[in-house]
Amino acid sequence: MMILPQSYLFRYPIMILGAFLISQLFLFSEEKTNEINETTKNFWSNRPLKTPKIPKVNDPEWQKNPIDAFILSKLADNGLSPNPSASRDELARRAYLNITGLVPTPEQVANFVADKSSDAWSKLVNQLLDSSQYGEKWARHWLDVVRYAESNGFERDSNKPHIWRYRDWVIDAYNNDKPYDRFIMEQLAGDELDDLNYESMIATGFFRLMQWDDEPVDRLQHRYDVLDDIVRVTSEGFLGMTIGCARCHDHKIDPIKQKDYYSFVAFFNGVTNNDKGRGVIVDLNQVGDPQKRKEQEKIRQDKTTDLKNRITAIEKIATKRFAKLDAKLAKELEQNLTGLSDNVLVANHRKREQRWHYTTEKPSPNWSAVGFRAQEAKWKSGIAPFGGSVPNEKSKTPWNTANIWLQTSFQLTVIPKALKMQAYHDEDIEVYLNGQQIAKRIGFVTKYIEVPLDQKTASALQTGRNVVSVHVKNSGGGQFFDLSLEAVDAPKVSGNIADLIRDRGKEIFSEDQLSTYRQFGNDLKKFKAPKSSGPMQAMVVKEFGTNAEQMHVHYRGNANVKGDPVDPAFPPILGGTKPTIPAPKSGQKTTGRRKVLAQWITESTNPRTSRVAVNRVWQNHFGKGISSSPSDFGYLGVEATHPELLDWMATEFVRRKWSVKELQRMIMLSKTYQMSSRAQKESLAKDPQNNLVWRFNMRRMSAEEIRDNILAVAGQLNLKMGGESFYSKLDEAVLATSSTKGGKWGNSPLEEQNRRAVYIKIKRSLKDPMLTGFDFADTDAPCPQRFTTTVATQALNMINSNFVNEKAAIFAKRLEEEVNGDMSARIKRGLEIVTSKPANPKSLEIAEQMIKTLKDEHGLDDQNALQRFCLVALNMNEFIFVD
Amino acid sequence: MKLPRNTFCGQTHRREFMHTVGGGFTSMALTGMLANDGFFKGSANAAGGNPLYPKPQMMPAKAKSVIFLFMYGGPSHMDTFDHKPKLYPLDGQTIEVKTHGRGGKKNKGRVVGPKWSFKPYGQCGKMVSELFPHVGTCVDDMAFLHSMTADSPIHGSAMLMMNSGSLISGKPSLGSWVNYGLGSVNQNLPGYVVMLDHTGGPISGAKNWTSGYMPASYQGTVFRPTGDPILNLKHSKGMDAIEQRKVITSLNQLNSQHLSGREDNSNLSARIASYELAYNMQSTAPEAIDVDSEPQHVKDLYGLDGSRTDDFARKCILSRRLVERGVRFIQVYSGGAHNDSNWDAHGDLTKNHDYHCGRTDKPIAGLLKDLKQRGLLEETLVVWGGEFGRQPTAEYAKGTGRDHNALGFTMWMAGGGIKGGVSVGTTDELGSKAVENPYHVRNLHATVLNLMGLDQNNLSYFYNGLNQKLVGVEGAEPIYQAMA
Repeated sequence: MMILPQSYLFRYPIMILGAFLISQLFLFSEEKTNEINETTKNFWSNRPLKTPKIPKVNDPEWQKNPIDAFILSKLADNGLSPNPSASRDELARRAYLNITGLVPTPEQVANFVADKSSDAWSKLVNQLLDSSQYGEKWARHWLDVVRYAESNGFERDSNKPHIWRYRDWVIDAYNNDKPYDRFIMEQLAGDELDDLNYESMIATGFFRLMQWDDEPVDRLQHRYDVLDDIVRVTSEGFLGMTIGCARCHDHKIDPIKQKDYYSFVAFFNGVTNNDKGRGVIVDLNQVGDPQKRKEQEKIRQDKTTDLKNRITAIEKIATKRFAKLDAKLAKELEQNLTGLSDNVLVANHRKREQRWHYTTEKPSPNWSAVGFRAQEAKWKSGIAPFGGSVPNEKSKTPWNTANIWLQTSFQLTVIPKALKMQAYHDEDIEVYLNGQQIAKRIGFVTKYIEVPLDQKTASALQTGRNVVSVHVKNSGGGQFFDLSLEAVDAPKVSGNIADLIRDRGKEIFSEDQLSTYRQFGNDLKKFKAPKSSGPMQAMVVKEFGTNAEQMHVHYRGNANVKGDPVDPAFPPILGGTKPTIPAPKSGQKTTGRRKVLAQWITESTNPRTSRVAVNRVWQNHFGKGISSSPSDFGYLGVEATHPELLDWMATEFVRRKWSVKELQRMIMLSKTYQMSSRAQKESLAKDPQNNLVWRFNMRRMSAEEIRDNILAVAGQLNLKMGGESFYSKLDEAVLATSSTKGGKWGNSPLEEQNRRAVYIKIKRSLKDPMLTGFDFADTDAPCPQRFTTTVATQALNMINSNFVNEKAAIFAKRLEEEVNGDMSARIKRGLEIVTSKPANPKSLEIAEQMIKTLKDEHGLDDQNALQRFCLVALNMNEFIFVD
Repeated sequence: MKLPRNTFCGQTHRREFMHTVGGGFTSMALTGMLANDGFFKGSANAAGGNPLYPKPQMMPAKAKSVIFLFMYGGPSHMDTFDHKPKLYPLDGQTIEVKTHGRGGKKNKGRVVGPKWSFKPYGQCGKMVSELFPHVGTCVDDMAFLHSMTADSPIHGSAMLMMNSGSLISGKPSLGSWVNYGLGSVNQNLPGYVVMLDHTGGPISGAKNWTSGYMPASYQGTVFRPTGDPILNLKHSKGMDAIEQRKVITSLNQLNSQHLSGREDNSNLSARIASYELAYNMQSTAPEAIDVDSEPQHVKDLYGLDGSRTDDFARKCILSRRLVERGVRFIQVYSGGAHNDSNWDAHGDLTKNHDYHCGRTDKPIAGLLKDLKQRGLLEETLVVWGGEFGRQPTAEYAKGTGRDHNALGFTMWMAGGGIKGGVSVGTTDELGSKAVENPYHVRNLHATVLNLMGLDQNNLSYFYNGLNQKLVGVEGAEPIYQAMA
C-alpha cells in the first residue's frame, strides 16, 4: 500500500486515485503470468470449459437464440442497444458472399425478398451451406492458417507434386461437414488411424506445406526450422498457443517453458525430412491393408445403397403428402425433368451406371438416323466404359476391335437450354443426337475431357425419348470409350422433390423427421467414391520408423547444441496428463506419437481446441473474432470481449459432435448476425470499434472474391471444382521478376483461367498481383487474419489492368446479348447485376450522364461507352463492399 | 477494471498501435492524409491511418533515403576492394584453407591468384582494383567494410538474409522496415522501389522485396527504367487521360452516393481517395523516370551513352531522381537470373567480373559524384555489395572460378552519416575469412536503420506473439567505425 503526503492527495486527488487503483491492480495480480499458478490456470482461455448460464434479457425475441441473449445482455450492461435488422436485400447479399464468396444474382435476391414465409431466412442459410461453393470459400480461411502453397521456395522454388489434393481435401471437409475433431485427427495423424483411408492419408499433406530449402547451409538446423514451422502451425492453428516463442528460451509472458517447446517438438521428431519426390509421395491405391480396403469399399457400397433406399423411401412419402397438400404441386412433381436430381442425361461410369446397345460389326448405313432401334437390330447390351485398360480407368465391357457402334437413350419432359458433354475416347468418335451429328473428334485422349458441342445441339432435343448414337474408331493401341451428357441451365423444375422438402418440408414432416432426412443426405455425401483422376498419388507425411531419435532441449534454439533429453509431453498449462505412446503393433511404420497428440487436442476437455475453433468461425462471419487474436489466446493476445458466449458456443459445438455447419447455422440464424451494418450515432460514440457487437461489420471483398465476382458478373465464372491448380495470366512485367525465364509459369486454357481463385497456382516466388495486391495471405507463416489495406496501386489495377478491362468488355457484351433495347435498359441491368438488387435511380442517372458525355464529348460509340460503364460498375464501392 | 493485456511492456506507441487495433481488421486507410489535403474535410475518421503517411523519426537522422546497389551473385572481394598481395604468388598452388561454399565444406583448395592489379586512390590511398577505376576516384567518400559475414554461402537463403535478416522467408525486407518506420514523404510515388537487371529477377523473386507478415503496403514496388514504370500504370487501351478523368469522376459520384449513410466507414472514403492518388501517380511516375531529359553532361558523367554502361547508368540516374522526389528506399540489382548473368563467377572469373564491373563502375561513380555535387550525398546513404563474397580458392579442378564465401567479404557504404576514406575490419591474408572486427549482416542492417533515424533495437512489429525486429530479438549494434 502506498503512503502519500496529504498535500498531494489534496492537490491531485483524481490523478492519485488513478495511480492508487493501478498500483492495487498490480498488487492483487502479482502472480507471474509465465508460471503455472492459480491466476494463469484461471485465465479466460485456460480454465476448464463449462456451459455458462444463458443470461435473461428483456426482449423475448433476443432470448430465443442464446447467442442473442449473450450479446444483448452485454450491450444492455453498457447502455447500448442492438441495431435493427438489415434490409432483406442486404441480408441476402451478405449471406451469399459470406457463405459462398459469390454475389447473388438480382433474381436470387428478389426471390428471397419475395419469400414472406417465416422460415425464408433459414431456408436460404441451409441452401447456401449445402452448396458446393461453400467449401471453396471456407476452405480458404483454413488454407491461410496452414500457409498453403504449392512450391518449396528458395533457389529452385520447385513444385510440391500432388499437393493440390490437400486443398481439395479441405474443400471436401467443409462441404461434407467433416466433424472438426476428425478434421484435426486426419491432418495430424491420418496415416496412424485404425480406419485410415485415402482421404485421411491426403490430409497429412498438412506436414508438407511449408517452405523448404533443398540446399540449406546447415541441414540439421534447417530440419529444426521445419519442425518449428510444424509446431507453430499446430499449436497456433489448433490451440491458439504461441509455443514457438519458447524455442530459444522460456516464454517471457505465457507459462510455456523451453522444455515444453521441445517436448512438443518430440511428437514430430519421427517425421522424415521434406523431399522433392518419392520420399514424401504415396500411391493412394496402396493406402492401408488391401483386405481392409476391400472391406471398406464393400461397406461404402452397402452404406450408399442403404442410404439411397432410405432417402427414396422418404421422398416417396413426401411426394404423396405434397400431392395431397396441393394439386398443382402434384402435377409439377410428375413433370420432373429427368426423373433425376442431377440433370445427367447420359452418365459416364463415375456418375452412374449407364447401359448401351453396341455392335462391333459394321451396321446398316442408317444406324445413326432417327428411328433406328439398336435393340431391334439385335445389338448387344453392355455397361460403359467399353474397351480395355487405359491410364487411370478400367472398362466394364470389353472391346478390342477396330470399330464399335453404340446407342442409348434418355427421356425428357422439359427441354434444357444447353448440353454439356464429357468423353474419354480412344480414338476417333462421332456422336449423333436424334440423327443429328453434334460432335466429332479425331485422335485419342488419356482422361475425361470436355467435348465442345455444336451450337445447335440443344435444338436436336425433343420431349419424350431421345437417342444418342456413337461410332468409335481405333487404329491401334488400347481401346476405350465412355461418355456423359448433361443438361446445363435446365429450367428450374419445381417438382424436384429434394428442393421441395428443403423449402417446404415443414408442412409435411416434423423437425425430427426433417433432420433425419438431412442427415441421410449428408451421410451419403461422406460415402462418395474416391476421385480417381490422374495417377492416384499424394504428398503425405512419412516417418523414419517406429522409433524416433531422442529429443533434447536446444540451448538458444541452436540445433547443434544439445541440452537435457525430453520426451513427448503436452503443454502443462492446458492440463495435459503425461502421454503414453502405445507400443508399436506389427506392421506399424510410425512412432504413433502424432495420433496421441491429436487425441489429446480433440478431447472435449481440452480448454483451447473448441474455443479457438469457434472463435475462428465467428471471425469469418463477423470480420472480427470474439478474441481478435485468433491464433494467440495467451497473455499477449487480445482477451475475449464475450468470454461466456465463446464458452457457450464452444461447449455447444462439442455437444453437437463438432459440426461446423451446425455452429454456422446457429450463428447465422441469430438476430445478431442479421443486424444492419449502419452506424448509430450514440453507439458509435460509445463503442467505435464495435467490440460489443451492436452492429454487423461492413467489409471489403477478399482478393479471391474480387476476382471471382468480376468473372461472375461478366458471366464467365467456371464453377468446375477440384483438381490441379491453373495458371492465371500474368503480365510480362510480373514474369520478369523471376530468376527463371517466364518464371516457370504455365499457360492454362482460358476456360481454366475462369475458375475460382482458390484454384490459382500458388508459387512462393511468383504470385498473381491480382491476389497479393488485395491482401492475399502470406504463404510463409500462418495468417490468422488478413489485412485490409487501401492503396493507390489497387486502384491502378482496377482501372488499368488487362484482366479487369477484358472482363469489363465481356460484361458489356453480356449486357448487349441479354438486354434487348436501348442503352438505358442495359445500364440498368448492369447496375442490377453488380449490386444484386434493383438499380438505384440516382446511380442510373449518373451512369447515363457518363455515357452521354463519353459519346458526345469523347466521340465513343455505344459499344465502347457501355464498356466504360461496365469498368466503372466493377469499380463501385457498392460492388466491392458488403453491408 | 483491468489493464489492457495487449500492450507491450505496458505502452502502446504509434507504430505498434496500427497492428494492435489492426490484426488485419482495421483499414490502413488513406483518409488521414487526404484530410490533411482538405479532400475530406470533416468526414475523415481519425482511426483510419495511412500506413505510408510520414511518421516522426525515433531519433535524429543522418540520411533521408537509401540506395542499395545489390551486386547479386556475390562479387569477389579480393579482386575488387580487398587487396591481398600475398595471394598473387600462390596462384595454382593447393594450400590448407577452410572454406564453406556451394561445394560444401573443404579444408584445402587450389588458389586462384587475383586477376587484376590494384593501385592507391584518393587522399586516403585506398587500394582499389583496376576493375573499378571510376569508383576508385570516390574512395574519400566511402567506408569499406572488409569483415562482413553472413550465415549462408548458398544463394537462396543468403539473398533472404541480406534482404530480410533471416535465412528463411516470410520476414519483411529492409526497405519494408524503413517504410514501416518512417512512412513516405511522396504519396504519388511508392516509398520502396526495386529495379531489376534486364536478365531477370534474383533467386526467390519477389521474396526479396516482400513485406512478409506486415501489410502489403510496405512491400517493394518493381520499377522499370523505361516504358511503363509500374505495373498497370498505363491507361488501358483506347482510353486517354481526359476520358479516364471522366470515368473516375463518374465513379466518384457513384461512390459518394453509396457513402451516404455509411460516412463512418473510413475504408470507403479511403478507397475513393485511392483513385485520385492513382490518377496523380500516372502523371508523376512517368515524369520521374524521364531520364532522357537530363542534360548531356549528367548523362556523360554516368555513362548513359549507348555503351555497355548505358543500362546501369539509366538506373543510377533514375535512383537519384527518385531520391530527389522523396522515395525512401531504392534497391538496384546488378545481375539477375542464374549463372554468369550475375556475379556468380564459378567458371571464368575474368570474363564474369570484367563484364559486370565494366557495366557498373562508371555509373556508380557517376551516382556518387552527382549526388555530391547536388548536396544530396550527405542525406543519401549508398550501400554496395552482394549476398556474400567469394573464396580465394577455385571450386573446380580447372579454371579461375571461385566458390561462394560468407565467412568474410566486402561491402561499402557512402553518403549520409558515413565516414569517408575509412576501411573497417579485415579478412586474413588470403581473404578467406573475417579476422579483425567481424561484422554480421545484422550490423549492416542496424547501421542503415540507425542512420535513417530508427532505433534498430526498438523498431518492432508485433507478430506471432513476439515483438519482431529486423536485427533479431537480441538486437545488434551499428558499425560505429564506419559512421561519421
